[in-house]
Amino acid sequence: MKLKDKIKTLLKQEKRDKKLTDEELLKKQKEFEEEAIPHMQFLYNFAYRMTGNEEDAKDLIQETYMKAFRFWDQYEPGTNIRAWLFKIMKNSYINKYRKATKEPGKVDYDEIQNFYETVRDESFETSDLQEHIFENIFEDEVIEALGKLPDEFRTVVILADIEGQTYEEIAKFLDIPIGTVRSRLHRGRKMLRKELFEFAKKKGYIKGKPEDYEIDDREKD
Amino acid sequence: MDCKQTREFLSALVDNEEIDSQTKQKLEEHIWRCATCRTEFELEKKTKQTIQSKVKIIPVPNELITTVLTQIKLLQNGYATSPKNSQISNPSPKPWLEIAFSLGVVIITLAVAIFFISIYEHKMNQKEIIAKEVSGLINHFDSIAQGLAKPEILSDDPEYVKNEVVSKASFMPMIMKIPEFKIIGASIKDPHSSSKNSKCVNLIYRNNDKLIFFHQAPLKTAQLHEDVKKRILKGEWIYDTIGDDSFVIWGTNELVCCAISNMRKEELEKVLKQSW
Repeated sequence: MKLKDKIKTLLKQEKRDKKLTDEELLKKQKEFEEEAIPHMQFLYNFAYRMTGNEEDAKDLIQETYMKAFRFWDQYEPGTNIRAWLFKIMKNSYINKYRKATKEPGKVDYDEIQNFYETVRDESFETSDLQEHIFENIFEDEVIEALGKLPDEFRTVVILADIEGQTYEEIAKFLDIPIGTVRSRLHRGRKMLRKELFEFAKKKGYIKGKPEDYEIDDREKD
Repeated sequence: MDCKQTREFLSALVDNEEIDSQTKQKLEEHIWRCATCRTEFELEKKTKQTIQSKVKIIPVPNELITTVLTQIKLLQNGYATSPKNSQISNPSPKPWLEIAFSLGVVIITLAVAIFFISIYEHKMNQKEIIAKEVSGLINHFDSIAQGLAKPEILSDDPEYVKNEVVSKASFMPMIMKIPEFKIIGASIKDPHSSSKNSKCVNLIYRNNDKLIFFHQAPLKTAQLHEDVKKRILKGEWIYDTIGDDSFVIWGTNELVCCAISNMRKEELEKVLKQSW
């Protein structure tokens, strides 16, 4: 992998430049670099898709790595380092970008409720004519649609569909049950599709309201 | 299995995630029979494919890796010796910041002490409680603004200040970006100096003659009046003015924050709304 080579050469440079000081400190630094830096690609892409621009993504990564290095002794070797780094970054992200605070420890019952509501509310749903949504769709339209999703849904879509993480991994990153990963992802993708539908409509590939695209009754079982 | 139950597992089916064989069989049966769910399944699959094919993984910029490695090294040096780079990045401290930092510490400790004694003795109304809550900080802020106190960390290089703060703080501080303002200094009260509760980080932002003093402490250890705590946990931002200074208290899940400024209350509110 390209990134690995990049890191290796940079680490070599690092070693050459470094004056030998305290051995333990050096060990710590080396350990950190070897363990934490390889996850930068994953973290950077998440940061980039969450913030929507390079500058903020870089900022977030820098802050995350500084904090991670500073609190490296809190990391238990052998445990999931990616999840540990991800949580640090998530906290930094929330601190920076969250508009309103939520009460701590409040369980997201709203979300569970909402899930069933969208499942019930199928007005927009289900037509093979919706296939047109996916024709001629551009990269920046998908990115814009993604940007419109609420944070908790965007998070799972990015992790699953862009970064290719398993549900188990996502559950660990976010400290939520796998069932919640499933429902958030289903709902997130659906919301995204709704956005793409709007684009397609604007461009004239699809006419009318979502309701017009309901499936034929005779096809129903 | 009905449509509702099916939808709950639809994403897992799309992603080929593990589902126990009995559930999976029922799901497939339902999808085979129900055209609506079948279409829904196909559409979700298409959505996923669209995201995958359109949104690509971006390579990490080279200079980001270099920056991070350099910052780690800076942090490392900060541990090993007192930073050499302070000479480079701290060329000419502003005259108003020159004088005794210790005086500020004395003032703040006294103010905080007085406040804690008094707060449990008297019942005060909310406004007074809040005023008491921030009075120590305001004193500290005033002494810095008037040049009577000097923060521990001072530099023209915001990156240097950030590094120092992260390397010395005893908790994960939040480094807020404020448009048009630059971080020029910071102080970290030494946790060993008094009680365990003195963990905090103060960042000083400046834009010409405008100053913002941004104080933060972990919620768990912060000694805060219960009423105030309740209010900020609800997400409230408490703005007010004392003397010439305006201030605001708010909280996150982990931190209690307080910003003090020599700007007017409305202006402070506007600036913070842009950056939060």
